[in-house]
Amino acid sequence: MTVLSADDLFLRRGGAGLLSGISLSLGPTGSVAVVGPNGAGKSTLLKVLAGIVPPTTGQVRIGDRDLSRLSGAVRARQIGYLPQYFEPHWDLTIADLVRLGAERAGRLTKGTVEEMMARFELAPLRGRRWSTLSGGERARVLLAMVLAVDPPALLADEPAASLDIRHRIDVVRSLVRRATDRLCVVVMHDLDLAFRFFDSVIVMDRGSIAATGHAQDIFDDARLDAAFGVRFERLKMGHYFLLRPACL
Amino acid sequence: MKLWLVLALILAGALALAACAGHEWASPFDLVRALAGDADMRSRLLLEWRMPRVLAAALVGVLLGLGGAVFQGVFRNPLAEPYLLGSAGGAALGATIALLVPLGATQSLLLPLLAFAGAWGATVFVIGVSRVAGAVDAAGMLLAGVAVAAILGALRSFLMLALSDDAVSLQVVLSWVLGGVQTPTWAVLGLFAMISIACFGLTMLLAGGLDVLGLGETMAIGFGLEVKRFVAWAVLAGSVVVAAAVAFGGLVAFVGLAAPHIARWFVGPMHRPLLPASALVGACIVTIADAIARAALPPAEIPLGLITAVAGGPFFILLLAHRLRT
Amino acid sequence: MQTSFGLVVLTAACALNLNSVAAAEPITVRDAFDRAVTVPAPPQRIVTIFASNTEMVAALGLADRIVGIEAYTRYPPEILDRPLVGGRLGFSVDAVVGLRPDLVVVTPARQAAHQLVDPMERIGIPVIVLMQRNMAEIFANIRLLGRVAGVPEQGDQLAGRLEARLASTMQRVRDRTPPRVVMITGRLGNGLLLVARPATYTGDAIELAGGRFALEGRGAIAQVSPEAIFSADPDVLLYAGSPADRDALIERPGWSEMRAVTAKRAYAVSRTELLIPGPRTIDGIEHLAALLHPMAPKQ
Repeated sequence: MTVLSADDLFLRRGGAGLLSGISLSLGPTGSVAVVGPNGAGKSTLLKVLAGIVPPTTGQVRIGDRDLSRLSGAVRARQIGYLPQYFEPHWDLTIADLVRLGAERAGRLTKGTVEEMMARFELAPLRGRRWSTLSGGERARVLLAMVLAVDPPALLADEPAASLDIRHRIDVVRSLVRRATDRLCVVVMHDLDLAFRFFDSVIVMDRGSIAATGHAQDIFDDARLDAAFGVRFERLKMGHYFLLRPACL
Repeated sequence: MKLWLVLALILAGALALAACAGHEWASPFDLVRALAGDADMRSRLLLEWRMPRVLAAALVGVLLGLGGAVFQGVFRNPLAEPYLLGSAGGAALGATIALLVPLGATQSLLLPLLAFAGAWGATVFVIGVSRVAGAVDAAGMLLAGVAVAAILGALRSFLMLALSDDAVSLQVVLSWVLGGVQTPTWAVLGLFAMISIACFGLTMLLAGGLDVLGLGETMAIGFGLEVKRFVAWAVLAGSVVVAAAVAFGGLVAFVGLAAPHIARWFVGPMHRPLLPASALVGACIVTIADAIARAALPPAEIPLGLITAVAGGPFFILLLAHRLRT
Repeated sequence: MQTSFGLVVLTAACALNLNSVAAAEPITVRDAFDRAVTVPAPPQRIVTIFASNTEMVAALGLADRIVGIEAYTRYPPEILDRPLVGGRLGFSVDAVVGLRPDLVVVTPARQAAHQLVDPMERIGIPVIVLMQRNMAEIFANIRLLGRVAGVPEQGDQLAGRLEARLASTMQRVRDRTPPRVVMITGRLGNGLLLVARPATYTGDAIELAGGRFALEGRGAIAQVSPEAIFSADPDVLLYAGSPADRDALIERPGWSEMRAVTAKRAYAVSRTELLIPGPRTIDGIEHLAALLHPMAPKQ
């Protein structure tokens, strides 16, 4: 059973092909890391899958329904999207931001906001404004906003890229934890974290999928080296998978 | 709750003060006597002229506050002014036609109507132009607005040159363009009040969408907002509001810019409290500015738009400086 | 009707203004906006907006009834101490009502009619709008003001005298060839000139004084460039203003070669006589006729 699938996606912008012929099919549960070099089309793919950007040709389906035919509100209840970069135009309070997250699917109860605030340890910050928060706090707020509706599929674009290592691990853990009964697709820059925490990995290169499969299998796949244009030395230490680029 | 009470009390005070202000100041007692139906010439002046004028000024402020909040929300730019979308130019052209072209109907009816039609038509035209040009984003619309405003301004100037004569001088048009609240009859004031209430309801419908839009376009789409459609509707609603303000108040600068800002100091940036707060603040500003316009330089009346521009210009520059520095 | 007749007489008598209580019934007239204006009794406190209206009321012998004027009224001298109700920045409803007038006379110039007619109607003060687009309208206005003010004979007499003077001037210039005339009424900073147009009282005055427009067909816009005047090359150039200002203009390059200048027919004419549509406009026409037709027989 698939919950999110793509069928021969192409996206062209001003003569450049950003995505070329991507097809994939993702089940209702599991954590998926999307990796690849800069410009491979990871963020673009995520935006198309989330319905933020319509593909030039091809189709994204959620369940058996064409994503482009769904109303915004219905889509938002099915797919949560966590952007790489988020800066609200108005300096809202944390409570207001989380409330906007909960409100969007029309299931705002007094409890929802409080529950999300408690879950992400934001209660002490509720009256603070966005501009006064640290990077780690901002990441937690963003998660609380997006997860307030508890969507069956969550697409996250390097949500932890700018954080220090401890906060990065915290964020990745809280995303992967959802994957036991939800679908969770995350663009990952940090390959070690990708192979350590995620069930499966999609390797992208120049707008196409170069390889896809279980994390352990991809770890050993030479197409990984080809996509990144380096030769990796592979170290396995128990649960830890480490990739070290060898000198060129 | 206390905050709203304070705002309402400030507005009530401003209204009372403005009703007293004029070439000859009235006392609150005079106001009561006029309301009680006194037939003296001065009481009739207060009842039939000054009170409707003061209330109309407050409503113009309400609409400018609402329109400003909507446009700033739509364009996510605290420097956005309701007039940037050509509605001012369109309204001025409509008013010029009403004032200069002998169309036969009574001017007090024709002027608001044509100003409204002009403001609305210009905004729709700007949206159309920016769509045809493929610029559906905020910057594209603003640029299209500037271009259309220039065209409309030239048309208005030509009409003023070609059609003004002894019967209708340039200064009538000029005074309207410089801003000045029309004094409606009580019946028209009632209509204006109903229009204002409808505008308030209309903008409140947009409040949730404006909040989500404020998270940025990507987040807004991710949160399920049909951004393009919402922006088009919000711009239309905003221009309806501004058109109503312009029809009754001429071109009153900077209130639409300043009122939402001041309101944000009180209630923060969420639109559900911001819209009514902005409306109240706008009402206070225009009521007081209009009182100054009437009372400062007797027997003349200073154009309202000049007062708000002189007070609002520095405000705009401060905002700009603050924004560029942070 | 009889009781109201008596009442009005009584009121007027109380006002101690017995010299002109001729018509004591309410009088209704139609003004230039085709409004029916009713005055219940001859007005005793009149606010006259603009020099033209002030001069007409004063010429009817009613200067002492004028209680308010606007800032650009300079004549007659005896009314210059009256309170001002407006000026360049517009007109104040408050100031007018403060004078408690029983009649307001305005002309739709500047913002006067726009700013005053509606409020006066609502407050219940009679307001008459007068337009003066030609001499006939000026005479009609004088008669109308006479009737409204309760002095219809004065109005008829004054208008009749002015009409007779006009007729005699027209008689003098009737068989003369009308010279082609341009009258400059103002100069703009950008070099453009304001000229008198046909279908205005000033234009009417020029034609009645035996001139014709050298800029015919270009009359829609009052601003013209000096080139248009050069190419029209009128027989007579009139400059509404002082001789010194006229000299400053015609000494400029281009002007000195004009037919009117070389023939020494560039005249400075009185602004008050020709740019204020009132009784004194007849003086202006007489002076103009003398300039345009110096050889015409004197009366």
